[in-house]
Order: sequence, then C-alpha cells, then structure tokens
Amino acid sequence: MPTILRELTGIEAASTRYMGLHVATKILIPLFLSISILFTKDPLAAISLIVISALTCKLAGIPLSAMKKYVVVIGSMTSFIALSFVLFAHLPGRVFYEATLLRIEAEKGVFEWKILVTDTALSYAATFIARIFAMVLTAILLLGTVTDRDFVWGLRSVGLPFGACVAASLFFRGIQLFVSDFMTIREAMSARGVDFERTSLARRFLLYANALIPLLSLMITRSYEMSLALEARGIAPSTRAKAVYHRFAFRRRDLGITLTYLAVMMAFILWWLLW
Amino acid sequence: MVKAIEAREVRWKYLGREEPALRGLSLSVEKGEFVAIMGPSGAGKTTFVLTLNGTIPQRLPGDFSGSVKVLGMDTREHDVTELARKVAIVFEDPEMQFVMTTVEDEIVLGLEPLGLSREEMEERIKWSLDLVGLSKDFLDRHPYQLSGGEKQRVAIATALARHPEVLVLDEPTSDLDPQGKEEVVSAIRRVRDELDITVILVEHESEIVAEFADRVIVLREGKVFLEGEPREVFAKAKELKEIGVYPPETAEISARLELSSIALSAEELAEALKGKVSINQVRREADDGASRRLVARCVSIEYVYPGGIKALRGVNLEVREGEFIALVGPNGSGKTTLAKVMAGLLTPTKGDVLIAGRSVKEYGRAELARLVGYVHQNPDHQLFCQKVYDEVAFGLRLLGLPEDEVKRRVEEVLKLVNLSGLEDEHPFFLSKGEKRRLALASVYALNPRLLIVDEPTTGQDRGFCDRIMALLKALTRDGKAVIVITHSIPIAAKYADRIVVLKSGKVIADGSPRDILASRAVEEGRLIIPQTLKVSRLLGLNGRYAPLTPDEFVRAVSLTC
Amino acid sequence: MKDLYKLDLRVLTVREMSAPRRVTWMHIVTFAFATAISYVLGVVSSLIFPVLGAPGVSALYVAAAIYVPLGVWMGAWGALAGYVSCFFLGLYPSGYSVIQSLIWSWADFIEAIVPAAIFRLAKVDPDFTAKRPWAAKLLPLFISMGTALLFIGIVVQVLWGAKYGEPFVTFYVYSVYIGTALALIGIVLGLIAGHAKTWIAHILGIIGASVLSGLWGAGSLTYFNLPPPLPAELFWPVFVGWVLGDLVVLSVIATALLVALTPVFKRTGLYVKGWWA
Repeated sequence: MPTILRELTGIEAASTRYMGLHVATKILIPLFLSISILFTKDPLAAISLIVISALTCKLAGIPLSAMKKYVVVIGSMTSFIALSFVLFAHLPGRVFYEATLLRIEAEKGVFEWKILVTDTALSYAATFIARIFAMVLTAILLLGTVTDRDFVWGLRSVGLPFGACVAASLFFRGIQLFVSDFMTIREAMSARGVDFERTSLARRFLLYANALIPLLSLMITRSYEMSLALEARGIAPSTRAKAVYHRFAFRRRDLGITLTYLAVMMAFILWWLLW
Repeated sequence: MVKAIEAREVRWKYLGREEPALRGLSLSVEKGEFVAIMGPSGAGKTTFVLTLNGTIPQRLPGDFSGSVKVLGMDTREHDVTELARKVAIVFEDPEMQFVMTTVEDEIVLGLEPLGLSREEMEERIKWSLDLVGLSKDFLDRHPYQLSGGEKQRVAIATALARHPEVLVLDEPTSDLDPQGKEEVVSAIRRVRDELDITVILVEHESEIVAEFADRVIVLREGKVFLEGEPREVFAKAKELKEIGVYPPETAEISARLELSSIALSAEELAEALKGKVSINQVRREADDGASRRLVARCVSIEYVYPGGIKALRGVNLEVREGEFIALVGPNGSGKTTLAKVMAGLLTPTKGDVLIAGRSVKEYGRAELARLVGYVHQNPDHQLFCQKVYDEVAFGLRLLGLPEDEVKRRVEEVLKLVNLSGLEDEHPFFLSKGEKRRLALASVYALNPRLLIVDEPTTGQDRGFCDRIMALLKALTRDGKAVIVITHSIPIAAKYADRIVVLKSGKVIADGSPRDILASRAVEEGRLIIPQTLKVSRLLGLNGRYAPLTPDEFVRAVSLTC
Repeated sequence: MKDLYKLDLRVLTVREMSAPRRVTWMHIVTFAFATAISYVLGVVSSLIFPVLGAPGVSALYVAAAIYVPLGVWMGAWGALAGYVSCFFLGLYPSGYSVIQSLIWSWADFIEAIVPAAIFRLAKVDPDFTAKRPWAAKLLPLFISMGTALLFIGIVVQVLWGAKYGEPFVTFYVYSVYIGTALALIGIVLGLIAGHAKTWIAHILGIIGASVLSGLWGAGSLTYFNLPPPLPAELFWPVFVGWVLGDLVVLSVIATALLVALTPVFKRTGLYVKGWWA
C-alpha cells in the first residue's frame, strides 16, 4: 500500500513491523516529536531531537535519502535564517564581523543597515537550523509511514461520515489525476503552437493561467460524473456506519511505543523547564 | 403484479437548457427482464437512467413532471439512498466510478451502510468478483493499475455486491478498447445466466444488444420511438438508421434482402443464406497513393518512456497527401505515442520524423503546429477559452494574424464543422459531439498538412462516428493527410484508404482495409472484424474481395433461389 | 442565449427559496478535487517562484487562484480547500511539522473566506460578465499596482518613517498618493466593467484576502506557532512578499477564472448561495 510520501516522491518505508502499527500510533509518534520541537531552545536539545527523529525514521525503514527531496528547502531556510540573524537582527555578544550596507542620514537620526555577526546570533541560527532538520524528519516520518488508506479508514474508525472519508480518498486520487491532466493540457497547448520554452516568464505565467480554465472545467465535469456514481451507491455524504470491515486493533506494542514517545516528549519539556 | 420499472409521461428539463431532455416518456419493464435501451446521442437515455434511482429529480436542478416507479416505489417519495439499495447503476466512464484507493475498499464502501457483518461482506466481495471474472488478487490493486475492462468489471462487482433487484448498465463498454469490451460482455453474460435480476442495458452496440436483450426500447428526442423484441426492432433498419441507431449488420442485411427472419448474428445469417446465394467478388479500387507527395516520414522511430517502458521499437511509416490512415492496435501498442512523436510533442529516443522533408526538430512549435495538427482524445483537455469563436481563434492569434484574417478563417472552419451560430457559446456547455468538432476546428483552423485525430470514435454512437469520419474524409479531398487512431474496425474499413496495425510498438501490417482484414494481422493485432466480413467468410468467400459493409454485401449478393 | 440564461436564473431564485438546500456529493467531490489541484499548484508555485527562506511561500502562489474563486463560488468549501491543501503543502515539500502546518494553514483559509464573506454578507450575486472587457482587463493592473504601492508605503512608514522621519515619510506620502490614485482608477474600472457590485466586492476581496492572509501566514511562520519555524526578524520580508504575490495572483489569474467559470458554476448548480449549500 503506497504511503503519501511514496505517492508524492517515490520513497517508501521498508519496515513491515513499523507499518503494521496502528494508524493512531503512526500519527502520534510524529506528533509527539513535533511538539518536542517547540521545547528545543538550544542547539544540544535540537541535535538530540534530530538524532531521535532520524533513528525513528531508520526504524520505520525510511531511507535517509528522503532528505534529498528536502535539500532545496533545507538549503534555502538554512541560509536565510543565518542571514536574518545577521542582517535583520542586532543580537548582543562577541562581535565576529560587522559591516554597514546602507547608511541614510534621516531627519530624526541615522538609519543603518548592517551585517552583524555575533556569537549569540550564530547560536540562535544554529538552533533554528537544527530545528528545521528535526521538523523535516518528523514530516518525512508522518508522510512515509501513513498510507492514504490509513488516513481514509482512520477517519472512518473515529466515526466521521462517509463524506469525509470519500473526500480524503478523492484528494489523493485527485493529485494523480490532475498532474496527468495538467501535462496533457500543456501538451494540447503546445500542439496549438504555444512554445513554453521560448516564451518570456511573464507570458509563460499567463499561459499557465490559461491552462487553469480547462483544468477546472475538467474538475467540474469529473465532479458531476463522480457524484452521480456516488449517489447511485446508496450513500449520502452524511451517512455514518460502523467501520466493521477494517479492524484496527490497538495492541500492546502500540501502547508501549506510544507511551515511549510520550515519555520522550515529556523529557524535552522537562529539559526546557529545568535548563 | 408489481413491475420492476414503470415510467409514465416523464418530462424533464435540465436547468439552463432550452429544450427538455425527456418529453413525456412512458415505458415499463417486468421483473427479471433484460431490456436494452438504444438511441442516438441526446435521446435521453442517461437522463432516463438517472430517474431510476431518483437522482432526477432529487439531486439535479431542473423541471420534472410525470412519475417513475421502481419496484412500486415512487422516485419522488423515496430518497435516493433508499432507492439505490434496490437499483444499482454502472456508468459509462470506469475511471469516474472509483472513489477509493483499492478495489477492496471500493466494494466495502457500498456494503458497510447495509449493516452486514464482516463475514457477510467478505462473502459478497468474493462472490461478486468471481461473477465478473476477477480473482481476489485484485483486492489490493489501485485503480490506476487496472485496465479499462478491469475497472468496469470492478464497477459491476461493486454494484452486484449490494444484491440489487435492478441492475442498470449505462453504456458500460463505450469507453473501452475491444479487449475491455469483451471482458465486460463476458461479465454481463454471467450476470444474465446466473442471476435472477432485472437488467437494463443502455448500449450503442447493437451486436451486444442482440445477444442479451429480451426486449429493445429505442428512444428519440426524449420519447420512446420503437419498442419490441430485438428481431422486430432491428427489422426496421432504415427507420433506425435515419435517427442514428445502427442495427447489427446482419440484421440490416436480412432486412434489405427481405429474408423471412431477421438474423442477429453472423452464424445465423450464414445459416439462413447457405446454398441460397452466391456472392460476387467486390472489385478492388486502384491505388494511386504512391504518386502523391510525401507529407510525413517516420524513420526507425524508437521511444522509451521515463519509467523504462519501450513504447515504440523501430517504426517506419510514410504518409502522403490526401491519404486517410486508420491507426489501429490493442491498448498499449504505441498508437498515441507514435502520433505524439509525429506531432513533435514527444522527442523520439532514436530515429527521426521528417515533415515536408525536414526533421521535426528543426521546426519551432508555432511553425510545426501549422504543418501537423494533433487533436487529443478528450476535447476537454484542449478547450481553453470562454467562447467558441475565441477557441478557434486561439492558435491563429498566436501566429500573429490580423484580426480580419482570423475572423475569416474562424467563420470558414466553424461552417465546415457545423458549429456556425454557436460562436458566443461557452465551450463547457456544448454537447460531447460539439466539443469534439470544436477541438477539431481549433486545430484545423491552422490549416495543417497532416491532421492526427486521437480516438474520435471512442464513446460515440455510430451516427456521430460516421459524421466525424465523413468530415475527416472530406478534408483529404482538399489534399490534407489524415491519421485517425481508432478501435472501430468497421468504421476504419469504411473510410480509411490505409490501415496501419501496431502491436507492442511495431508496425505489423500496413495496407488497404481489404488487405489487412484478409491477413494474419487480424489475429495478431486482436482486431474485431466487421460482422459482414464474418458472414462472407462463413459463406466461403475469403481473401481480399469479400464484402466489408452491408452495402457491399447487398450489392454483391445474387439470390440463387 | 444570454437573455434566456438570465431568465432561468430568476426562475431558479424563486424556486430555490422554497427548496431546502443540502450538501450533496457534488459539493464534496468538487471540494476534494479542488483541494488536490490547489495542492499540486501550491507545490509547483513554491518550487518555481519561492520566497527564499520561507518554504511553502511563493512569490506567485497560483494555487490561490483556485481556492479563492472557489470560496466565491462555493463558500466555506473554498476556504476548507485552501486550508487542507496548505496543510499538506506544509508537510511536503515545506518540511513543517504537523502542528506547525495545522496552525499555518489558517492563512489560506482566511484568504478564501474573506472574499466569500464579502459576497455573502453584502448579498452580492456574482456576475462577472464583462460589459466592457477592456476595463476588466485593465482593472487587475491598477488594483494590484495601486494596492502594492500603498502597502509598501505603509510598511516603510511603520518600520522606519515613524522612527527616522525623512526621507521615509516622503516615500510613504508619495506611495500612498500614487497607490491610492491607481487603486481608485481600478475601482472606477470595476464600476464600469460590468455588474458594479460584483466587481467592487471582488476588489475588496482581493485586498482583504491578501493582507489578512499575509498577516496570519507570515505571523505564523515567524511570530506565533508551535514553534515558529523562522525567526521573528523575517516577518516583514515574508509578509511583504506574501501580500504582493497574492495581489498579483488574485487580481490577474483569479479574476480571469471568475470571469470564465462563474457561468459554469451557476448553470451546473454547483454555485452555493450559503456557506455550505
């Protein structure tokens, strides 16, 4: 069963033991880790969280090459965070480097825009950057271990009506359908003489905007046909029925693992409180 | 006794439409009957289907009058969810009937509201899949992993698992390739043979209707036009063809030869004619194709998709001015890939395409669009504008033509495709057939030398197929070359000068329709030959000179007694 | 054809008043598909036109052109589509945690609910038929440029003008005058483009949606979240980039879609007068 991450990026969790956990466990683990991020205020705590998150991904069988998909994100966030602490904030501490970029003699004083690199700024930047790694790992963990089916039947098991369950399923189906539609529409535009490669960025922007019209028209046509098919099934969006077919037994190991990660989260909270 | 369906003076007008879709339709269906509903596009068939589970008038906006009772339940007084427990509907597009991510979940979705136990559900899932010829290996499969025929069979299984009393199949084979059609027909055969339920089959293909129906109802303009047993109805071949409904070729031949009984299958007709007729060979027309100018040439084309799938394996093809080529072959044979490579939309991994003597890589997009026009299978993918006029003008404006020239060309092309008067209409509100003609017009307006049309006949009634093919044929008289990708061999045989058969990325046959249908390419390419040809062969006339169409057969036949 | 269409609408209004409205599968399916499209476009926009340093934030967030018009057409469904698509965008490829994403996504909810609310609370029946197409085409340019200038001027005054005085104050004054003038021209164009109430509601919707969603979006990335993924110092660059990008997308693309597809939503019965049905 493909996970959300597999559908989006082609990366898949390999551990069948982890994948066999209850869907609530698979959602709670990244949730506890992401709450822990809130309580990491120093580089050491952040690095500890990174290690725990990375180990959990390893246990789940998610290859760390999944991080490659986030390289651009991590790279841009990292550099911009570092820049923000040196360009937009003047944090006290030992000054390593200082340079004035812009100086304006204003009416009520001197406006200066400086680069100021201090040890405090670097420490803050390091913490933020480390937290980003932890964030990315928890996101990968969630997407890499929760399948779209888990998501859909998870909603059913908590008693939500069929409307919610079908909507969730159609969201995942819709992603595939519309990527394919978008490519076909782009192709159809090319067939009519549109040259996307040799067009200015502005014109390309407008052409892609043009492509949204058939995309939405198709969406409406599909919605119409699919809703007729759903009406014919004898279920209404508000229909609720007990989820009898798929059994989600919350076993002892689910309880054990959930409590373990709850303890990890509490440990980070304590760390934050005490240090 | 309560009838399965009872419709009285049903009138329905969709919101925003000028004309009603149903105009006083009255019909009834007995329990256990297998009734086929036929009619040209726009006759009201699907609209009528939607009244059977109460979707009309409860869910769609419009004006309704009359009454529809299903197993005694008035569809205005019982909610759709209640009616749907008795009536199961399978629609035309298999893709749009899948809402869940696996086959198993798809079937379970309809079963859980029935309050069944897990064991009962498992039992029903197994039973329904078995009935349609699918194994339990399919349970974990995703919709995108299934072929069209498999999807449609899952849709039928999903419907049957609910144990409905009435099963409605709305053009279940329309969007499928021949193999998919055969799979679904087999499933319907088992349903008919093993279950005691009422079945209503809406279908264009009269051969399928002839095989299954106890009774045929033909609709026209929202009313019943003809009704009766298949033989009775198909005997009126002329009247049916006038409204765009095509009887089985054998029935048409029987009617035109004034046989005492209307034959519904090739075997029946051959049996009826054995020893009583002689068939003269049909004269072959001389082929002057080689003298015409070359428009396009494919040289050893190979194409490998990013996933590693080799779609084309060394295709060589020449296309000349004025030629009408039908490109046929099973799904996955590479037809659409080849068409896109020729249109310059895909770059071949190896080999080259020469258009007007130059490699396709040397042309800019706009320049190439003026030489090779490509019309996608689904017109919704290529309609970008808010007005019909602007749609046709889109490509012309991209070329930078002055507005008065654009106007002239647009008017000319709209007249050609019979869309004059609809210039200000929003393309979304056109009928399926109008959209297809508009898509064709928007590409044709650029005046390409080669026009490639991808499956214009799929999902269309025979009348529309004939009209669109006749239109394309007319273009070849102006010197245009036309390539049509199609699954319909009878249509290809009727209109094409050449049939090119693809299989597994290779051209396995290329020749006149007669040559192809007389060759081994028929089995290799899994082509379904016209009924008329089947009859000719059963009567001993094989080879290149057998009649291919009812017209040819009737002209070629001499009664010996 | 147009007159008949208008006639049908009037008949529908009378009939609709007596018929109960309910959420149907058509609403659910359209919402699910619109969310999927918004998500795909969101991923594409944030990768092609990023605001560097703020993943998921795009200089030209084309996805907004889907769920904001959907809010006008289908009320709260559009807002929900914005929220859900943004939530998944937060997870991939932005890399935010579940909680961060849950909080951040309200930005897109706000972006769609503001125009939806304006149309519904002012009881404006959207009619984007352009009686003067040239005015409808020029309107986005004036509104987006005018509002952008006005906005930048205000930001400069807030950040530096109040503290440092000239030359920031002069910059603020000029941008306010020019920006307001351009925006006023845009409003006049809106009044003459077609159905005045529709176009004015739309203009107000564009401005309100951009600013309010920008406030929440940039704020939840830098000031308030659990925890904010970015430092507070990045609030203003992210906020300005967000608002300007939204102004362009909503005034150019969303307007084009509203003009093209409002008749379609109405004639297919998908248009939602209320919030959910």
